[in-house]
Amino acid sequence: MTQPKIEVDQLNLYYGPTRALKDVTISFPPTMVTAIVGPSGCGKSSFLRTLDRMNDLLPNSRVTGHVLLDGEEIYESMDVALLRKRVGMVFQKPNPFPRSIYDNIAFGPRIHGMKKESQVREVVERSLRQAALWDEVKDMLTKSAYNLSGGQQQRLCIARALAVEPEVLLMDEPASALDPIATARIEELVSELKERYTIIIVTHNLQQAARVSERVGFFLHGECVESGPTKDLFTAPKDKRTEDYLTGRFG
Amino acid sequence: MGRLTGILALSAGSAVTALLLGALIAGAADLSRLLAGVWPSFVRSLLVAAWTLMFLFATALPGGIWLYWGRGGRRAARLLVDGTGALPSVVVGLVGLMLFVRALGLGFSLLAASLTLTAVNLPFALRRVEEAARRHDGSFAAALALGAPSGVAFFDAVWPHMGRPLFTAAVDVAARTMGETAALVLTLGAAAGGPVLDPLGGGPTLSLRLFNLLAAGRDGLYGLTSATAFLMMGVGLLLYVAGRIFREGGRRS
Repeated sequence: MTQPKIEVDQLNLYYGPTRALKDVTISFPPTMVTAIVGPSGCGKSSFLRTLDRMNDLLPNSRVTGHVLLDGEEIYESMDVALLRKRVGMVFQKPNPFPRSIYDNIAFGPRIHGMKKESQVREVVERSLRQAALWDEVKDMLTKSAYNLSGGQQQRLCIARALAVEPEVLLMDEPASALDPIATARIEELVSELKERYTIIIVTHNLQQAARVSERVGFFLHGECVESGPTKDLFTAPKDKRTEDYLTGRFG
Repeated sequence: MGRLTGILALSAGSAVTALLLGALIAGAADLSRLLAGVWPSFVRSLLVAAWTLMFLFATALPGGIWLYWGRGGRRAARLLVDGTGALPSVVVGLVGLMLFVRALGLGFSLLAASLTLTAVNLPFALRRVEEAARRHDGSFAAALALGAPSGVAFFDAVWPHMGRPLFTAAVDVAARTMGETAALVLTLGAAAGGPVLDPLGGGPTLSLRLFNLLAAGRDGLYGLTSATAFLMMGVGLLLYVAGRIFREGGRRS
């Protein structure tokens, strides 16, 4: 059996006295798309943010348990900047920087020490191609990223995350603020990217989870109720709560 | 460039209109008194506003940034900011009188007045700086998620957005400073008119002049009072228009 890319064991997350995640245990195989589904407020996004330690930024947040990236504990000795280079993140709302399209993509490689402009240019083109945006923006690289449409901005953010060559890509409802056409482009892109990256995508949309993912984890009230291959979980859930959610009895 | 020309034209227009209206009300006999008295007060008002903005730049900017991204103690600091923000300016003026005028020995001076107005405006300015940064939380998080240290994330992803909101906050502070009277009565009110550009010198600003004229209560001063009020309205209008233009520009961009 392949070694999981990320292994989460007995993970608890506290915001002050509130326990937001409860003994979460789940693993993510490499180069696969895993969808995290569940009703609002069940801890999906909080969970995603524990995987690249973005929750560290919140005052009074505390984590117990283990998160292993390639077998290495991320909450112990791992450098946070290096962790975030290895584990990229795309947010719900497109959030380009107030810079040109080119500089948005070049931001990551530059902060990680890439100095030669020819190299940076290469990375910018490769990342934009990977995000299926190159043909649309190649003649306007020096224009502000704000000139792009919402869907293009989200693909720009994906390209920006890819530019630092992560191994894992975390996507927090990346299409929830987009129209159906832009959503379809993002889903196509996810399917293409899974050849190279381990992708963990949080989504409210069960159809989307069924379309893009090979594995699913179902979260409820901060617990990971069940996880497994998408087909199995959607057709024969083991837990009654998963079945109730999938059949629309709650959520 | 066009916008700048517009602001300058409005500025000149407001000043001329205010003076003309003032002259009409004051009557020809009072015109020379009006011009002689208003000009130093006007310059003092501008100086106090400029120094207040300068002191606020040095305190509210780092303070607001710390409220946004600092660690530890922010909750208590916010409570303090909100609490002091609710104090009437006359109370802060009393503190200014005790601290800057008496304890620090600055006397009734433009400097003591500017420092007191800095204290009056500090809670408002701190909140505006924090809000300006918070509006771009997403960009800050995105930069951190790429592995940027928080300083780089802030100055590369958030700071470039903050120019316009900070400018409009500065315009608001300047307008409030021009119109503030209560705090100035206590920190500058007792000063005799001195050299206009001396920080430790005194003399009335426009709002204090207006207050003094009204307090004197003599009918003959009616024209001068009205003229001063019109001039203040002109300055206020100018600051309001400048703020609106930049706010609109920010929204469009």
